[in-house]
Amino acid sequence: MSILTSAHARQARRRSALPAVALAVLIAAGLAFTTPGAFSAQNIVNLLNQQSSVMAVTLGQTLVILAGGFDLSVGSVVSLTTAILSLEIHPLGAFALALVAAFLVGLANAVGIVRFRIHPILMTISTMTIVQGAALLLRPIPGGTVPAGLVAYANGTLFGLPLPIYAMVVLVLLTSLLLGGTRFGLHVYAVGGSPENAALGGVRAARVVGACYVLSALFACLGGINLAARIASGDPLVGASFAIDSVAATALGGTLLSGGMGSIGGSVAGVAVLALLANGLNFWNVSTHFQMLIKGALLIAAVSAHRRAAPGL
Amino acid sequence: MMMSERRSATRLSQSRTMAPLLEAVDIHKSFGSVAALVGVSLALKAGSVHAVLGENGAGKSTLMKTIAGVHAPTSGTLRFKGEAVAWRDAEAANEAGVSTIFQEFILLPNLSVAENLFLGREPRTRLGLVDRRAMIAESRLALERLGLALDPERLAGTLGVAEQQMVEIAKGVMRDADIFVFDEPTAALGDREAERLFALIRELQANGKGILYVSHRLPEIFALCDTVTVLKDGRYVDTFATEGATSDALVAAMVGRKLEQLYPPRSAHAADRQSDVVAFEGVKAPGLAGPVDFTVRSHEIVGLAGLEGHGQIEITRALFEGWRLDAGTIRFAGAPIRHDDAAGGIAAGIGLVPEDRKREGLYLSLGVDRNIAAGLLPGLSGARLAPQARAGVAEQIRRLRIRLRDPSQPIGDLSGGNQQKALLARWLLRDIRLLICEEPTRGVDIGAKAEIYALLRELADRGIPVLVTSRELPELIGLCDRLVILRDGATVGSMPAAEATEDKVMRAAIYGELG
Repeated sequence: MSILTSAHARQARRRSALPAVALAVLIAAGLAFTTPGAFSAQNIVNLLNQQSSVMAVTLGQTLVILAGGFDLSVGSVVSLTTAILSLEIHPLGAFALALVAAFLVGLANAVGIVRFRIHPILMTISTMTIVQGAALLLRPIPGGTVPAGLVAYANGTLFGLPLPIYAMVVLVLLTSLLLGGTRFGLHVYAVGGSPENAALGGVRAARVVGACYVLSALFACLGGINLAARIASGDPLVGASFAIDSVAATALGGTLLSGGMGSIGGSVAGVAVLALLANGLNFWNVSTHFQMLIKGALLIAAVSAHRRAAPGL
Repeated sequence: MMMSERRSATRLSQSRTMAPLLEAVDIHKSFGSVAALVGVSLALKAGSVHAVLGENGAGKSTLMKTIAGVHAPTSGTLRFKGEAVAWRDAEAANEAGVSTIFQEFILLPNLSVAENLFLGREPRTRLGLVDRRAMIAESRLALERLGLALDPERLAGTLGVAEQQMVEIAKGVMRDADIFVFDEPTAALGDREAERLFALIRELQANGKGILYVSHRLPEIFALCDTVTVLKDGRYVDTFATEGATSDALVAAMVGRKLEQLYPPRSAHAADRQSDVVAFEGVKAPGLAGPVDFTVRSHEIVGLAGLEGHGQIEITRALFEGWRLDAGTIRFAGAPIRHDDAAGGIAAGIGLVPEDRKREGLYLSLGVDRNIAAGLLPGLSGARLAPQARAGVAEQIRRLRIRLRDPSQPIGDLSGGNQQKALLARWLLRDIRLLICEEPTRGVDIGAKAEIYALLRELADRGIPVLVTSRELPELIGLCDRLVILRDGATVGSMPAAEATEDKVMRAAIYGELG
């Protein structure tokens, strides 16, 4: 609550990503002490590379959550994207198809939630199921090949760093600018604060919220393209954990799940926490099943930690 | 010939006196079958602070919302700067130059003061990004012009109520509004904050703005306003110049009305037959500044009277839900109450008909029968099957003449009057020792009103006292045996309803002393 007495609204609204950063540092330190290989340049580069898709998806999720919603369909969009890219059609056609499909999913979410007032969780869980079905129809079992250019992108490096890392950084910077610098970004916060009051103040709330869902689906598509490039094939279930991961990273990063408060920086830190945690637990030979328990518990902890920190309370 | 003469005469008078900034002519506004405004007219001049005065439910807020573009009038003309206008919504009225400071604020708590001031019209740099520097500088300037030392970068949610109100005003000033509408602006302010607000309003007035000021605090109106328009029951009563008017004249204009013959005659019960069923002794609680002292005796209908929001609901809920008190005791049937939730209150023998029937009282999609039988549930173990009490329910439906197709018809389909009767039936089915009835006839047609009044009287005659709240003072006076007057969450005193007049009660509620 102390952040709310701070004079500077932008800082306060971004909320402190500090807990997430601290947690990330803590896990990193733990890793450094217990595991000699953890801080090799190679491990760090691998980690960043692995997280590039989750990061893209989390950016979209953060927009939606800031605007007061939820998007659980992102994981299915990731899967569908890899499935489409592994189809044996012209590469450009595959890209176009993947983007159009994602756009339509986002549009469906937007229309259902804004126009027909369906609860965001219900709406996106429905599209999640539909899109998952579509992905399985296109590619019942993992496999196929993706356009050669994509594989080249995933394996390419610049100054020794893999290209997906650059793509991730550019995406993060662009989204930060969108949210922190543009009128649209300010209106996302306004709508997340109170859609009714924002509308009374002259914000086109419905459009802003709708745009967030469309953007979220497109970010998920970018995440899917990136992932397809890295696994060099299509996999109808590969995105299954992305919905929970993106929500968890956003929440860990200090974004209020009721909307209106939070930041991209926080979500980056949130993704880092999840990545370091998974990495550390792997190093310490904790089974992936047990890791799921920890991830879930962490989400509960993150949400309950800032449940009360709404403005004006 | 006559016509043309008259027309030229009007034109003459219009050119001599300055045309009003805003003119509402013969405004009617109905919500469904309820008429909220019936032919109300008002003229606001530039540089005038114009009070709109009336009892709760007189139509003040509806009139303000009509002027602010929130409601479209059912008929009548709104003229702004001499031209007839029909605003699409609040934003359109705002755009045209009518700035409204509502009772509930519409600032976004998670945006800064500057962002709130510029919302929807943010200045942009050449790159198309929001020009924060310009926004902050201009906001600071506007706030300073109003004499406000507020940091434009502060989050609106961290501001106090008074400061938020100031920001709302600044918003209007920045948009260069011509008219400022204040709907009971001092309701949530302390004295010093109110003084600051008054200074600000006087400044707006000096700048030639027109101000509409809704309040029922007479001292404020005399201190601030030059003109008063009084409404009653949605009708226009009169317009006074504050100078030369007395508070007596204003109060008389607010309340003068004769009672209708709706109410059953009061029964005479010898005082020695009556015992105290409820006693509030020096009670203070959240929302009740206190002290609250009153009793409800058997065979008696007691009304809680006062302006809206002066502690009525807190008293009924503290009793029914067994609130933790800051001071004092609530006695029920002789002993201090021991329950601490609604179920406990019901188990102790209290029934409550809540003011918001649909939200708090009914299970709208369930049948009338289940809604009535629900009264039997509290106090039962969770493992028991819910009692159907078919015979009892049928008897209540017959006795209260609840009109329905069949008992399992969803209660949401019924009229307000029948819904209210079903709620009463819920408690009649159970052995209660006290009935609390908040707003017994809100949204109830006149026929059902009379039936409900008769039913409450019958209960009291059987020795089950009734505690009533109502926004309609005539109802309290007509229905009750005794009125307990509240002001600012404390009891002022009580008076026999037979001796009460609206005038007397309003005076007590406004001035805080009996006669």
